[in-house]
Amino acid sequence: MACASHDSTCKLEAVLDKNMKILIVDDFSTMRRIIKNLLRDLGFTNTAEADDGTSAMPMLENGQFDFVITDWNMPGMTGIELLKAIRANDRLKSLPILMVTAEAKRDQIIAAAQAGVNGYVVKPFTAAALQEKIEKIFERIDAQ
Amino acid sequence: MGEIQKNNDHSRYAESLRASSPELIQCLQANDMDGAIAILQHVNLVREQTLYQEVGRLTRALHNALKDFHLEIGLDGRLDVSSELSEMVDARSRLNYVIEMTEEAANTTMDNVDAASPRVQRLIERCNQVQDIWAKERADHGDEEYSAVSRLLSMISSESQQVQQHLQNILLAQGFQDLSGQVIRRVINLVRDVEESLVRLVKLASEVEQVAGIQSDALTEVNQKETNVSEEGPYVKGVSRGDVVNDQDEVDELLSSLGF
Repeated sequence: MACASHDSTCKLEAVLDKNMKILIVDDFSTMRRIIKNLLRDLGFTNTAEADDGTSAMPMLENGQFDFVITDWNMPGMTGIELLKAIRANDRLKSLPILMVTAEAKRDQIIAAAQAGVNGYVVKPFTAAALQEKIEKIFERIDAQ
Repeated sequence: MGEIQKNNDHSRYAESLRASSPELIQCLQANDMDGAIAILQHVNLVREQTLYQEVGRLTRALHNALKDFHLEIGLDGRLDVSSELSEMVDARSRLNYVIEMTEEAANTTMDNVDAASPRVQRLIERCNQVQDIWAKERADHGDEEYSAVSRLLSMISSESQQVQQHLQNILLAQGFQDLSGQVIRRVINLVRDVEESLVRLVKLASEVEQVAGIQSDALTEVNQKETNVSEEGPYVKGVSRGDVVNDQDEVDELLSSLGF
């Protein structure tokens, strides 16, 4: 596993705080449950769920969340709108966001990157891909 | 079919233009502008009438087609789009039923995975504990039976870990419900849009007089193309959608080319 090169000891375990509060945003309860279970297998048990951006925003504003995993295509407020709303919010703007979505067009991935997404996983995905992206996001944040 | 129709209209228009051309040339040569304009207006009128007739014909054909679909809708123009009951509504509710059923099935599967997983985990933990104790016993004795039990214990432990892996794969496979559900939702929306458009068209058919006037607006609306980056839904095999990445590796490649 790659570690921050400026540090002699691998800080990954310390960086990946297993108690961090994670919000899972997806309109399909099946997918929320899958992600929740995968996170639990990875040791993250402090999770909450929202079914679209509209219900996610007040939760993020009121709760101390450390990480957001969101779908793109949702009724009401979509994932890309949620991403933009978070980046435009002074208190939330630095919140790490991983997009887990079936949207696979290059234009969409570029749009998400430009809107400030921290990672992008296309559905269907593997447990290893999810783990790797989460680790990478926090590795990068720690290196900054 | 559109092409044939266009050619047909075009030939009638050309025919009427050709028929009027000697008169038109005469007027132009005599510098009779009012006469020339009147002739051109007449030619245009012929064209409009053709268009008008064709719209009427198409609308009637459409109405007949709708009747064949058992769409029980009146033609008196008092039709309410929202109260429309048709086979299409039935199609939508059937598709919604598929979403519900697959969700239920996925949840049942996940309930069972959730029930099995901690049991397997306990088995692994307990097995490891016994293995440690057994290793000490074996060191003291070292007979055949002791080593057979040792092998059994390590087999239980490694097989259980494999089972855990399979359980996780089963869990991940339930993502099909989300992906297929997204596609079905799109079809439901499409059916609803088509249905509403058809009902509107049938309403128009009952007011054929006004059809020609409204037609161009309707066409512009249909031709309006979305230019924003919007949701596309899951990639469907065999359905070409242009510039789509095929797997996670391509996503990573694209993002790293953007400095990620």
